[in-house]
Amino acid sequence: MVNILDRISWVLGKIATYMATIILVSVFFVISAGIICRFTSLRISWTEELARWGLISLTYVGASAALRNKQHVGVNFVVNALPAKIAKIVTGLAYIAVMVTVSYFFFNSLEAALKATRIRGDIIPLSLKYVKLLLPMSFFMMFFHLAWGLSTLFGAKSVDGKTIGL
Amino acid sequence: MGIIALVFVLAMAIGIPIAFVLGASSLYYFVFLGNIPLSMIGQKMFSGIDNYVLLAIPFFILAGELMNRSKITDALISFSNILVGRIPGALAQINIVASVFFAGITGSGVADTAALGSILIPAMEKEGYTPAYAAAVTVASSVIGPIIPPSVVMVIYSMATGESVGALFAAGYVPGLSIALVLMILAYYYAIKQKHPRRVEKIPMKQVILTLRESIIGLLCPVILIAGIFSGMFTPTEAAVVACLYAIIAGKYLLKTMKWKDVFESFRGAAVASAITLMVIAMANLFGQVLTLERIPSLVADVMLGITRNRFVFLMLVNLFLLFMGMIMDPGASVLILAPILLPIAISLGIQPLHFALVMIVNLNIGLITPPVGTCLYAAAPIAKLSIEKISKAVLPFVGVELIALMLLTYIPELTLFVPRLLGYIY
Repeated sequence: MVNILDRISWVLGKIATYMATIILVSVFFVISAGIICRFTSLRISWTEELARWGLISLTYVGASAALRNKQHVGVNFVVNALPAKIAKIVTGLAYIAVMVTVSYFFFNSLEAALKATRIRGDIIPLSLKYVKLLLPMSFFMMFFHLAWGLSTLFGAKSVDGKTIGL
Repeated sequence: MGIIALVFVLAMAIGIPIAFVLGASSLYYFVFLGNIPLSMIGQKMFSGIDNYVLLAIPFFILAGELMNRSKITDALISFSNILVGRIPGALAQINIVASVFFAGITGSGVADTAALGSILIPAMEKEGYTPAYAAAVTVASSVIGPIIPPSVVMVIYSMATGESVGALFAAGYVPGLSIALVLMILAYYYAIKQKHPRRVEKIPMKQVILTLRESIIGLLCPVILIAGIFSGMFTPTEAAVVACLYAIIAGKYLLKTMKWKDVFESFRGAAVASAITLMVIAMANLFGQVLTLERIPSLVADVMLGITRNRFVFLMLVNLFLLFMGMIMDPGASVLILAPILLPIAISLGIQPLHFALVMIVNLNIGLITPPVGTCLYAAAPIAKLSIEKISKAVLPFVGVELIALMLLTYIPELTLFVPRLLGYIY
């Protein structure tokens, strides 16, 4: 069970990292295209909106990849100062608290995405649902990373040797 | 609101990352205390980050990554050696001056610590500096990174308050250079006291020209970036993209130090690194909503104005408060939450908004090198192979001189306002 969780978390981490990279590369080209077109008097109006959508996607997809790599910044000195056993319990509680938060965010963002089915971009005639769906997808990935992180507290080891989670 | 504060502190103490502390505290309010539909959370998470100016953040981070991978950092260090290598405590001085140049490329203090620290901390140790001192100089000078433009935290401030990014960038030069100057004076004092070495031999003219030729490529990047913004040719986001494009061309075709694989790796590193900052912004927006619903801005204003109506005392109180906040919270999150609360009070007391912005930004960035949430300390610790506690102790005198610089900037507004006035941002 723990091995399967580890595998899923590892694969989701890779997917999120590559997705975030592709989004950043795409936004880079979109903004570059906007600049070139402005200087050549060629009017394209959709670049700004598409770039903003890219930014929103990058935020949440990239944040889930960062969670897998334990890159989010937090205060650890209190936990580090505690005796090992208590620190383990406290860290477990922290994992559970974040898992609850992420679960709420998953459902809230999914609801918001489904409600946006008929809403289209200001310029791009595409349903906002598709952009907004990336949020619950990212929170879903975060939940898996946290579940695996919680399991590492009980001695499980990661396939890539990383300590995962908070 | 007391319960929210308790949840916030508790969540932070048990090691939850700051982005999720902000998210969890907001969620607690919406679920248990607020009389607001929960669907608003999903909406706010989307709209809170839907801002074109924020796109500058990933590209400023990317520009730093690209410059670092194309070995432009090495050239900037060599150039700094020509400039200040003969001053006592040469490598410490080079470290500080290189930070000034690097600050013109990237807008993040942590990037500065990682890029320069990996080269200069081992080099300083080899020349006989203690590892703690080498790490302290590196982290202390990293504070310059987000103050001299481009600056990620200035972009966030602009988003939070509507202040012009160009004006903020213009106002950042003198404060950034002032901090560099006080750090150099302290490094000089230590060099004399502890007999730190300096470069004795002269660098041959041929070598100087070669170094200049290599470093000019790196030095041109901030010129393109800033000239583009100040002239109105580019928005800050576009300028950041142009800087990245320039860095790719420079590294791949001019210096030939970068392969396509390095370009891809830079994009990958920047994508995840910027997502961390952006996630904090998204969650801070949600938390800001809680503060607004609880009317905290007007409460704080009443309390502050009840204590004093003197702008000098107010600035002192704000400085003390922000120093504390900088110690426990990321500068970006602090700016997003506190700037909309404190700025109206500052304006009502007749403080120039741009001046107040820089006081706030410089102050909160000093928090990058103070424990417990001094992210630069965390970046330097593995490079110097030292504990956070040891580096924190060694960096204290440098924090002291940075606070002196902060006081000068606080009480001599013209230091901050001189350049924006010159460029026509204020009259």
